[in-house]
Amino acid sequence: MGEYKAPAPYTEERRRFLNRLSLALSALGGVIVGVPFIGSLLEPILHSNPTAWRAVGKLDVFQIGQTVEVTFLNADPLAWTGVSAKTGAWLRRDDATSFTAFSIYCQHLGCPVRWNQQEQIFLCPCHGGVYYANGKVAGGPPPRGLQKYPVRVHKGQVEVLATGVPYTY
Amino acid sequence: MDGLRRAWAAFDDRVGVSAVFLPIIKHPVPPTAGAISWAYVFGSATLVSFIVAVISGIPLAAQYIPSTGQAYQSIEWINTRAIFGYQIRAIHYFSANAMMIMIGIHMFRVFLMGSYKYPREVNWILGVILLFLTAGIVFTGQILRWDQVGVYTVMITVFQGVRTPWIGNWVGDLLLGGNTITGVTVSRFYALHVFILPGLLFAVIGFHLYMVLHAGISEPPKSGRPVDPKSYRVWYHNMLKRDGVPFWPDAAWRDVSFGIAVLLGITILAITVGAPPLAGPPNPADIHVIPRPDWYFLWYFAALALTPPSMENVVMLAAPLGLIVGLLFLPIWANKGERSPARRPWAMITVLCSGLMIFSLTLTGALAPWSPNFNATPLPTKIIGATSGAVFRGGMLFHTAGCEDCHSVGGYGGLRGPDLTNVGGRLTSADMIIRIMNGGENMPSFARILSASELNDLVAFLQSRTVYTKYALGQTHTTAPPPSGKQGTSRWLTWNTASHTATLTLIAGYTNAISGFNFNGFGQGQMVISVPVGYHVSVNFSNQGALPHSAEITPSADKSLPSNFPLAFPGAASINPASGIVKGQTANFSFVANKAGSYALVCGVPGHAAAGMWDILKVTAGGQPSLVMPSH
Repeated sequence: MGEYKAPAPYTEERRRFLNRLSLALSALGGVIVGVPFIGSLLEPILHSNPTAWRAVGKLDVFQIGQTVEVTFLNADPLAWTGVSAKTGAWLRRDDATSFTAFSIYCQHLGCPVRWNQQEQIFLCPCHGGVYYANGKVAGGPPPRGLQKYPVRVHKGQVEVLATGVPYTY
Repeated sequence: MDGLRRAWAAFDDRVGVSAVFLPIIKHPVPPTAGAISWAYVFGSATLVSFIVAVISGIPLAAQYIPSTGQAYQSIEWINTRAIFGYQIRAIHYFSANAMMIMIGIHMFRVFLMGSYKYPREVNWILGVILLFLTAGIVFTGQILRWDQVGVYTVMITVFQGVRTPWIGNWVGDLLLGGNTITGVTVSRFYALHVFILPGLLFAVIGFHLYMVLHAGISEPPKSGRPVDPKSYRVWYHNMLKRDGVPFWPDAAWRDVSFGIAVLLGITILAITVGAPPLAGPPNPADIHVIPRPDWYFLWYFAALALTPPSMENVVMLAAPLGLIVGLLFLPIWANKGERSPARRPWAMITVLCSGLMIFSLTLTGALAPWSPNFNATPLPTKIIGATSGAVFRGGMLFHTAGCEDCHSVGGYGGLRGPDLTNVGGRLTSADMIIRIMNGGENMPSFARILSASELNDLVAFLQSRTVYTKYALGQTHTTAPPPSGKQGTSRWLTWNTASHTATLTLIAGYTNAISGFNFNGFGQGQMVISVPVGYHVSVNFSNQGALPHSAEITPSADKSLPSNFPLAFPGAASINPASGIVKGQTANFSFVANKAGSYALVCGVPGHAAAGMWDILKVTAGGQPSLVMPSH
């Protein structure tokens, strides 16, 4: 095997430059990969959230004074969301034309509340939160009353506005 | 054989097994003897659990569909149709449990032996990072079951996350993948659980193991031999040179033995207990779910439940932050001095208090006494001690007005509020009226729910709750003259003509008649129940059928509606009649039959009444209650 013909060694100044060049190029690579990567993971806070009116039943099906659970689809469900695209609300007919729709999510930590017709209260199974029929806190840890969805009557159908989970503080 | 030996020698020469790998596994470690030697096995036991979790996770990842709409069905398929599917789910679950247990013991062992001190501070910090990565991967694993509990686990996490100041809504949106449960919610948790967290775990575990090799495994501590950063390294190196034994096999055999024991434990539990059951399809609109974390997080669930509401944000946000900072900074402010626990009383107290706290909070979390009891059944007459009069009516009200959800009498009821078995000896009537009318911090006011006579009956009942009531059971109470009403009993209907009360037992899907669309075995109007007008009817409704069913009273003319039946009397329906209750559940309700006429008892789930699930309720002007079924 003969002599290995070595090229002239680099000066320290050249080494310093090459060091910085390599680091800078790596940083550039990081940015090129990183921006779409981080952006894609942060996508849920970058996109806008639509709302949609959802029909929950014919007007004459609902009795005045009765509170029933209605289910409806979220505003913009993807085709593969399946049964998880449903949201529930407790709907009460107040009089001939007006309704109140309460979100089923307890305002303490989001467990679904149950309406008790006999006692006229909403009970939460998680930490004992209780709400009166008007949604105000009756006892327990919830910091505020049940949140409401806008309701309207449109062409004989009762419609609830699907707005997403009401956790905005 | 000679050819094999030469082939191996060539491979070894090229790869460096003898030159590099063997010296690593035979690196010198401090010799130990006796019980203390076994203290060192828990790190490798955690790693063994992790490896079993990864290996069992791979077939699951190959069969699970990470789509919000199909994850649940894919797990049902894995459970029932995939060969070894159910067993692999069980192994995956128990290896995750083992990892949580082993990492806890390992952390306590390192802390108690002061092994986090110089020069092993960085390894402690890496271990804390591994602790939180492990908690994260185990938590996301429960979510990926994507059953009803999984959906609400995400929801509850979101409601906690949004309490973060300034960026709360972003935290919520990032967890959900939007502003509500969306198609990408499960996919994001899948990417976390299968790619991001395992990747980080592999990297940090690698770094952690490198640090064990670089700094050397700590020797057992000794009282009177504190760590001095100036001289420790030299002392340790000399000690190893003089007394060190090769890790493999002198110490490694214990790691292997204990690791195999952990593997056996995981396998035996997987075979005998099985995979965690699915709680039902992930429908956020189903209000019957009772969300709970898996057992290793029950202590945190209990801590949150017991925190006073005014301090909640502090506990939810500041406490975990404080814990993380405290753990990470431990080796910064305590990196030298005595290592032996006998000389470190604060370390002992910390371990003792943490252990007691986690243990007692876990027990409390399992009992969950702050949750109302939705399965409370009406008080039996032997507890009420009366069969008519104010005390009897009050005893019935104790159930129907909802008191029993949160309070107990004689062992029946909920644990949320104080036990009322002997409340008559504690509070006067005036005290009781004030409390019932005004409510309390955790109790609603019943001012608009109870009428004046109902309030009197309830107070009469509560006043009769004293230690002396127990000795008076079987006698009619003296607050009202003994009634002479006729009693009726049958399997399905009992009544009392003096108090105008009747109790009806309804079992949906009792037989397979009419394909299960029957009450007590009869539908299509075959069963006729009669009560005189004015009777208070309590219905003990339960479901034994395969499908969800409900029960409600509707005007006779409306029984052919497809759904959304109008109620004939207030309260005359089981909870959420359009969805119903599932097999094994009970949903009692009661009403007053205050108008004579002919009514239908129907199942409110859409289509069921039309399929034949209806019977007849007649409210008569007088006479006695009756229940007639066709004779077989």
